[in-house]
Amino acid sequence: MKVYKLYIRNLLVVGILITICTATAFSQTRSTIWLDGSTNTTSHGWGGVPNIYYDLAGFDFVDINIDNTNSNIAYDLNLGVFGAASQMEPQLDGHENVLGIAHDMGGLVLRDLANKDNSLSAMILNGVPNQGSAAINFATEIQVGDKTKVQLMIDGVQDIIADEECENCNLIEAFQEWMDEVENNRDVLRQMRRGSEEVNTLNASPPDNTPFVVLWGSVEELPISTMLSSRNFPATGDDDHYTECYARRLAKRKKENQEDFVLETIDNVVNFYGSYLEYIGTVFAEPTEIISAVGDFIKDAKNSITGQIEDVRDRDQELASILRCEAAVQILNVEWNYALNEFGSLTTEEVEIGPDIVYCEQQCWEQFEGTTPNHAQFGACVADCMNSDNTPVLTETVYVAVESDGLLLETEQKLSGAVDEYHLYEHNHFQETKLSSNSGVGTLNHALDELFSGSAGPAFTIPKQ
Amino acid sequence: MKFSKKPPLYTLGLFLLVFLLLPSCTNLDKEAPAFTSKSLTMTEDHALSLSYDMITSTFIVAADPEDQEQLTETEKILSTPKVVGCSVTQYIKDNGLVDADIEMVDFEGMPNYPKRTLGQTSYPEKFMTKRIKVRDGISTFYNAAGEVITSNVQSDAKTAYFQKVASELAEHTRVSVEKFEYILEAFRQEGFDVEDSSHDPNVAVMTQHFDDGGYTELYIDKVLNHIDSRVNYNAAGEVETISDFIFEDDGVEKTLIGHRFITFYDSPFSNVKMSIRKVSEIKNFNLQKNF
Repeated sequence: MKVYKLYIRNLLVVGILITICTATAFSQTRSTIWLDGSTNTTSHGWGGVPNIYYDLAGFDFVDINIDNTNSNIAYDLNLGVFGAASQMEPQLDGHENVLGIAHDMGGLVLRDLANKDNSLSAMILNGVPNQGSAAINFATEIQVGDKTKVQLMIDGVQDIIADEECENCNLIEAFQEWMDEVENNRDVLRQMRRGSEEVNTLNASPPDNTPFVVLWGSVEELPISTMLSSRNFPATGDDDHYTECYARRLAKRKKENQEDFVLETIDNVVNFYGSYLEYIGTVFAEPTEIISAVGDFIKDAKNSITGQIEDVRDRDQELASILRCEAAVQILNVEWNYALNEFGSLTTEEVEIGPDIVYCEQQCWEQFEGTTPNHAQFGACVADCMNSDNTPVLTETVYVAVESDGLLLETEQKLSGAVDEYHLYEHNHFQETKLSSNSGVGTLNHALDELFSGSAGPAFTIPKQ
Repeated sequence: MKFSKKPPLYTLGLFLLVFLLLPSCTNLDKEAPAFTSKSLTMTEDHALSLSYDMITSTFIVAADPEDQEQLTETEKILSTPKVVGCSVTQYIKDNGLVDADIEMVDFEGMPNYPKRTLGQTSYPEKFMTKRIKVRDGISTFYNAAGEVITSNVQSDAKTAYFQKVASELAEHTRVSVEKFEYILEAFRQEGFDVEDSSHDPNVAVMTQHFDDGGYTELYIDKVLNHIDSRVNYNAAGEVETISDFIFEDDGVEKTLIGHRFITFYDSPFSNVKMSIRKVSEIKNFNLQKNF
């Protein structure tokens, strides 16, 4: 019996050994670490992307840092770039040929980790502020008292629309809420700014021994509302909550007001108090008759007349409100995009705006010299001049922003020495860790599929299960 | 109170900015692309028809041009006009409901800004209205791809007002300046505040005060028999808004060719008084009543 038990035990041991040896011999599993960015402020993190690539795409990897939100896993960006890298370093012990994939600030951590630990064999840097972020400077630099530049800008925008009901779908409040989060994490996030010690240190010792690729996102249009939608409503697919809501309401308000303008125009074009003048003008000739007839009309219609004047004032105030509300959003966009490009990346272009008004006015002044033209005569003169082919054309210098993902410029995301670069088209910063519904060129899916399949070399390859 | 009770409008200086930065409309009528859904024709139940092409420029500059240099760099960017062209055909029915086709059009001469020009885009093109189709007061807004952005139903109040305008509209009549003076005198005798402009004897200024302390000045052209400027003041006597209509007049017929609207705010960035200006040039204005 004892011999039999021994036999069974040996058989089990041999079996286990054979299994282990076989697995070791044939397994091509690769270790990965997927590092999130600052998930409350500048990134949504990788979420379910690793699982999708393992479960659905069938790539065979072991994610060392399987869940950044799990407190058992040591990856805390509150420690800063270098601190988080030091925290991560022991977790790579026992691993080799690790592929690191990181977004946003996580990329800076990954770069420092590559300098500290040679088990990291390749890096995929996605939307990483490799050259530092001017937007972070704007959002975290104290300007006056304890207020940052961006907070002063928001306060200013709020001032302009303080008395308005803008129906802007809480767009500015959403921006404020985002910047509040940035403020709460200010000390850490400042490590991503242009010229920070961390960025300078990393760039002083580029990752020469660890091959890397850069994925960089950009958007064709600059609206901040779209980026805020991506930040606050990541689960709604391609929907653009703030923009859609704001654009709808604005379109309705504008059209309503335009209709009012049309009404007023009809009233005005025909005459001052419309049909009544026709009656007055044709029936009465004597001054006393006219005054008396109009007086009777006014007595009856006094409330109506004053009411109409008040209605028109209300319409003017509504148009003023629309314009101020639009201006507030425009200023928010201009200030933000100007800040992104603050370090000399704006280009200028000359654009033809239209005929030179000053020239036309001078021409008309000369034409009417010595006379007193009325409103219409002078206006018509200027209009004719503006429509003349001989009138010189005014040009205006406009500022054109370089490509960016709404938070980082293209140049801020790039890093020299990259094995390859992948451009994520129409991806704002918060969309860079989001898989698309297709795998076309310019999507994250396409970039990862290609890289894992070996398009940029074996350093980035993950075998299929 | 630099802008309070500033006399005004009725100087020729008014025109200094009326057309400022307004794009050329030399070929506005010729170059307007065909309006594909322009299938509207006047029918028996249409009381009024109105059509026009319009280019509107909106820009923000220092209210006093001398302050322009004091603006921040980003504020100066706001002076680049946002320009929109549109072609409008509109019918008002006897019952006050509206049928209309409104299309945003890139007329010749409008500025062509490069992509990512600062100050030009507040939201993506897919949410920009390209066309509005109105039938029986129900408006549907479309983007350039023909997708519905939103819709809207004409309010009862607006319907009632449209109905009133349509029914009361008469053929254009112009009375002489002399007769018009008598009409204004009647307004005076009934308690309205009407005075001659100190700048132009052919202009009267009617002032209407409101319960909130604000007031409106209406600038009435005695020759053309209409109001062509309006200034609203707040209770502190500061100008809130200015609205001007510009007409072309051949002595018999007058045609609306422009509209200017200005409102103000105090810049929290440069402490300069800023003006938001919306200037429209109107071409091919045509108003007809179905008598």
